[in-house]
Amino acid sequence: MSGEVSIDFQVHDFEIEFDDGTTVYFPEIERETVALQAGLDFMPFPEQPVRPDLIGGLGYYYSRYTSDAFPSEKVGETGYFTGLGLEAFGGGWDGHGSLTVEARWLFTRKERFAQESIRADGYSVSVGFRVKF
Amino acid sequence: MLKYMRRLRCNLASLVLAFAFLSGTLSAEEAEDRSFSFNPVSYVGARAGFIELEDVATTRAASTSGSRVGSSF
Repeated sequence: MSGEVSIDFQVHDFEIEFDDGTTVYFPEIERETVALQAGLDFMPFPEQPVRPDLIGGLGYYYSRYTSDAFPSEKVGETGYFTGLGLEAFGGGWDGHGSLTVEARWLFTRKERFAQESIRADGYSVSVGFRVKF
Repeated sequence: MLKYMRRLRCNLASLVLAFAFLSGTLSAEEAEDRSFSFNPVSYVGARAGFIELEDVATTRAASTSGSRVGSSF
């Protein structure tokens, strides 16, 4: 078991989907999010060559929307996340470098009557590395 | 309130033991005798990938990158 904090930078060009299924792409709108997350990482088999792990915790997502056509907006959202991953190489807690593949699902608190608060629910898939010391 | 005070007191006691252990004033055996062990493995890491959000706004091109630090216990 380990405790972890992380900071992520998420960048999106986004399109808006209406109720009738049509979508409009706004190339000039960009969403930049700084995701601060803290959680617990449970790795049941830390000595195996390929090691699955489960992670979950709380997050704060600070987003800035920028556009040429509209004033920029900043929105802060709290939420939680859960995820699962695989780690390979560098086995055991005494190993050094290791490769990681991870999927995370994000769930943010929905603000009632806050039209500008777009939910950041979604998922991410990433590859990376860890260095233990 | 009492519950939080109790937790705070436990945390402070752990911190004092950890400091004593790290500064060499308390041997590993003594620390073990006091039901205290402090042998974390720390790590740093980085990752990059894609992200997709739900709700009324869906992303067309999105990426995520970040760094992480952690410590086992």
